[in-house]
Amino acid sequence: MKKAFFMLILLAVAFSGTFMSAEQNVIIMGGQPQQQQQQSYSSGGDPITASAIAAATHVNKMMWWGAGCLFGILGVGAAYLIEPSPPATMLMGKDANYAAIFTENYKNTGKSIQTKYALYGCLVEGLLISLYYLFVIILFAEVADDLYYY
Amino acid sequence: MKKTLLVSLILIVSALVFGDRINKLVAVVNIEVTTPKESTVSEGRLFYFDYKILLEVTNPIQQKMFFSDNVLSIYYPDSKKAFLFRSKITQTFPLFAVLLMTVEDDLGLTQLGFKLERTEKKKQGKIFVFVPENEMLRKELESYEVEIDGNGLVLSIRVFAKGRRLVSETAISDYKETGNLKLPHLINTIKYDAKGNVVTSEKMTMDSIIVNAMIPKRVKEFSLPEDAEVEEIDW
Repeated sequence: MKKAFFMLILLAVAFSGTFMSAEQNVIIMGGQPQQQQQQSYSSGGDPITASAIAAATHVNKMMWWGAGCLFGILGVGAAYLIEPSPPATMLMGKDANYAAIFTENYKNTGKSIQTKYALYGCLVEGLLISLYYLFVIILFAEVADDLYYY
Repeated sequence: MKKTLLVSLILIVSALVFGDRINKLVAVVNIEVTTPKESTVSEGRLFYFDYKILLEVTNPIQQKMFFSDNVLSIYYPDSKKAFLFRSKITQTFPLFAVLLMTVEDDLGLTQLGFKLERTEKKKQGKIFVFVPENEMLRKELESYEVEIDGNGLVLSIRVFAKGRRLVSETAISDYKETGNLKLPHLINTIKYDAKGNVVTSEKMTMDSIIVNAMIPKRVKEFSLPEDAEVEEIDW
């Protein structure tokens, strides 16, 4: 129990807030209703912007890219189903309204990033497999040509 | 005479059981979370017991955060609203986790499957470089660099991802005698993105730390009130 606890602590310390998206600004600016953006919160700050940055930062893109690469469409499915959890420190001292919007937006943004990167991995895998088959077909075609001439 | 013997026995047993380990802890905390967009300062009281953490935030709002196994509950007494986050992994509070690590041998890294790769001498103290032995961890994590001063106190922890990319830097300072232990009262973690920009800075200042203190019953038996409006979220 203690070992497991400390292992998780270690991972939390190491990886909370470590992976940053190159397109985080696009996520921050995109697709939020105007009404939500103008809402004010007693504890201050904008939960939509904060959650978009946090999600873009915390989601491990390389891991999901790898999952897409290794497991193909299953990796993409997992990326869509598994929801990233928000860092507790980002909700500290924030009111319930802020927490609700932050959580919802974090979940959606995180999921979309995960799925996107898993899809990239899946496409790379598909491309590599296609190239492999193309190579095999060309090779066999050449062998078949050689056999025909003999 | 019998009483004296009994008290001595209790003290010896307590010293053996609780001597240099934190089983329970109470502290007054001040936590500042800064992102490029905003900064939030929260004040409150932290309770640690049975691998659970209850953080009672009193400023800027009333809020209770309870970390227990894989569940994080956040309760707002004023509005009687609550969130219950159920995760697949244990929920923890990283800033406080650092404090717990400082009292473990090798920060608990050796026990967790890290090996000491090398030691570098500094003017005052040493840097210990730990690398993960675990294949899965090695894919993500390159090393943990722990700076320790001449007295064996942990001064900083730097985490590097693959390609020696600095992921986070934690400065640990303001050590004070607390019971049998010398505990840090200031922990400051800075997290960086892939480009080296600061993503968040989290600073926790602790005061009035009591190790192995009595934990109040209301804290030990904390649960969300029946009349709370709970939003359950599964991660």
